[in-house]
Amino acid sequence: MDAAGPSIQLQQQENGLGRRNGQQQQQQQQEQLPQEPDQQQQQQVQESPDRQQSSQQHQQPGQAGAAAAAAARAVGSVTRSISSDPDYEVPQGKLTETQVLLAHAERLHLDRYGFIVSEAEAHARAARARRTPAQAKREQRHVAKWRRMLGSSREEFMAYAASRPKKLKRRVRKGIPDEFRGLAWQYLSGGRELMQAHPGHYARLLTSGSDPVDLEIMRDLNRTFPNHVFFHQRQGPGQQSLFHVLRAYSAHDRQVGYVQGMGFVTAILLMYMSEEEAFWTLTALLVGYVQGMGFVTAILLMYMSEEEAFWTLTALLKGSSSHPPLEGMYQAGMPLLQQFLFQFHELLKQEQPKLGGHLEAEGVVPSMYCTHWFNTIFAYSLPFEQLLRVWDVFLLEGMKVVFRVGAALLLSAQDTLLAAPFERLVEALNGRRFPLLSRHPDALMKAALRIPVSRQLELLQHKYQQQVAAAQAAAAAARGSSGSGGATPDESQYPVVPVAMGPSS
Amino acid sequence: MELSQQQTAKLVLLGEMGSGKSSLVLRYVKGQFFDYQASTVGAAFLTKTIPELSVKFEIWDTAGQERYHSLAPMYYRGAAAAIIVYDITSTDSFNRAKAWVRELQRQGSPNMIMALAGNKADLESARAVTVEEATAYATENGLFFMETSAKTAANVNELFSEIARKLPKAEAPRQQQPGIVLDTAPQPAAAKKSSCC
Ligand SMILES: Nc1nc2c(ncn2[C@@H]2O[C@H](COP(=O)(O)OP(=O)(O)O)[C@@H](O)[C@H]2O)c(=O)[nH]1
Ligand SMILES: [Mg+2]
Repeated sequence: MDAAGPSIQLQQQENGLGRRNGQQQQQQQQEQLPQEPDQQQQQQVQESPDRQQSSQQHQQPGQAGAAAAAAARAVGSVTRSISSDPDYEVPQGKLTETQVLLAHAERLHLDRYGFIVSEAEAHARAARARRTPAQAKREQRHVAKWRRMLGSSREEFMAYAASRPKKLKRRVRKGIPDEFRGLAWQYLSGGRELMQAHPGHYARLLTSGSDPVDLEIMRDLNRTFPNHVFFHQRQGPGQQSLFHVLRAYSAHDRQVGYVQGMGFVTAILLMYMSEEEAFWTLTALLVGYVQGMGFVTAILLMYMSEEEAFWTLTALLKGSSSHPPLEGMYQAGMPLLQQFLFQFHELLKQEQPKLGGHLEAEGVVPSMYCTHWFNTIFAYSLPFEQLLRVWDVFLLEGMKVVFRVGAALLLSAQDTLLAAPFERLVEALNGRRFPLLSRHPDALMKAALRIPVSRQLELLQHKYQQQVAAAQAAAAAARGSSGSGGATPDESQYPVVPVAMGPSS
Repeated sequence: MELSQQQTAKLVLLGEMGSGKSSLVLRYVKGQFFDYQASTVGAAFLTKTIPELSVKFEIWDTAGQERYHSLAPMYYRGAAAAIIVYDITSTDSFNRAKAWVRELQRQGSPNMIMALAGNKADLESARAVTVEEATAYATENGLFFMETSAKTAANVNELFSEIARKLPKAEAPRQQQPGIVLDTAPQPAAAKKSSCC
């Protein structure tokens, strides 16, 4: 039943809104915004989401036109370009004008990121987001610094990044201002460079013939952030974009295709950028940032001496090793995921012997609770504000932040966890109620970034590879000699999960 | 003293993505149903006790997608019971269920109780797999079969209770608990007396 239907409808609605209030909305939009010919060119409402929100909340149905006008005004006032990168279009996605209108039409309450919440929760979140004048001022300064740092082009930003890596790191760790996230994520991942180097590629991928994987993607569309206004509508604009990007990616990288988990990652990207940008950012993350080193060198030479350029490039290349391709998380056998799970388990034992020892004694291993931490880079399970901060760091520093945050979460619950036997442990670890998460996102970042992991992860990667090699050799030998039940390579890659309660219970 | 006799049984759900594994578990454990059940990345863990039968289920709900297959053995290894779920409106999902049955027959513990659940029985008008076909297959393979609906709750409690009743009586619940087995162990299915560690 969910076989042929959706694809046809998705096609029909190529650039429209979802069925239910599509017609009406489109009309409103045309009346209010004649300068806005195409839904694809949605623009982001960037200013004072709180004000917007409360105005929505108090609207009566009859005031729809007024609300639309207000939304249009708000949009009009922020279409200023945030970076003078000539190719950069104002992001679509998060709280676009369309979404504001849609939300109003359905009388939904949204938080400032577009998540659908109860009225009380919307007020609570708005209150939490309120700033004292001093805080607001500090934020403005942070924004201004970022604006300068982003400069007028990607090259300028990259040159800045290369010459002041420490400063960049500090600023990223403080959180990228929300209005710059879409662009900064593209710069940091290398997605933007890939996009510029391959004009037309995404459009071509979109026209690729249908594939069985399309059905799998479709099956997950309406279960990926159904609580976000952009994605909650069946076959609405968000779900269509998600479908397009995932399907294009599966055509681009047949070895990976579509794997559950990728949808959450892509959806987050789509909250901050256009389809094509999201596609290339995803590609950069999964396949790696491999393009154009020669080009970067040339640019560096415009800004610095040869020697400086050499060292900067070295730093860049070294820095880029924090972004080794992640597609191994999704390929057959999920080898990279298995490695991450192994590393996390060992890391805990080494760095937190008490907690790690307890988990091990109870027979609890990472595949029982944190596959999705890695496979979705926390998109599946962290509260959104915390998630954004983790992603900022992830895009600059790579996967190690996932280890750090994971370890920090466990540590924050250490007392409870240490007292819990197998069952309650697994339940607690699978839950989303770690004490750190009820605090300000700064607290999570601070706790996480305090945990050193780089060196350990490197050693553990080495250890893991050795174990895999040994296990494979052993399995091959067993198959060769007896034929009786050698473990398959897949199974032997990772110590088998203990299956029930701890040995002492 | 009831507690001391309570048997803990590891139960795993397998089957194609979208067949309704998570929905069945959620309906059973929490009495809820969502049209937009979030897809499962990795696996989810829930527990439920049936006091009348003195059984506590430790339920592993897995990601059904083929790509996650390499993780599946971690969840079904040593399980006392497995529910293999298909969607009655999809022949593909039924074929996938058969593949799971074959895998469990080969790799699972020999005395694992296997149940076949034809889910989404409320979607009668879109049915693609007949009751007769599924019954015949189940009989042939010694599976216990029921059609269920996580949406209407039809047969959901019955399914889990029936499994609980079929569990080998609790003289040695420990048999189901091999504890930590390292990857050097050649036969995962072997239900070792857990003396390690
Ligand atoms: N009509 C109907 N839909 C169901 C039923 N069970 C699950 N679904 C829907 O099928 C989709 C997939 O369900 P889910 O439990 O996530 O499947 P899983 O991937 O096997 O875990 C969701 O949209 C559910 O709402 C059912 O019994 N009847
Ligand atoms: Mg599921």
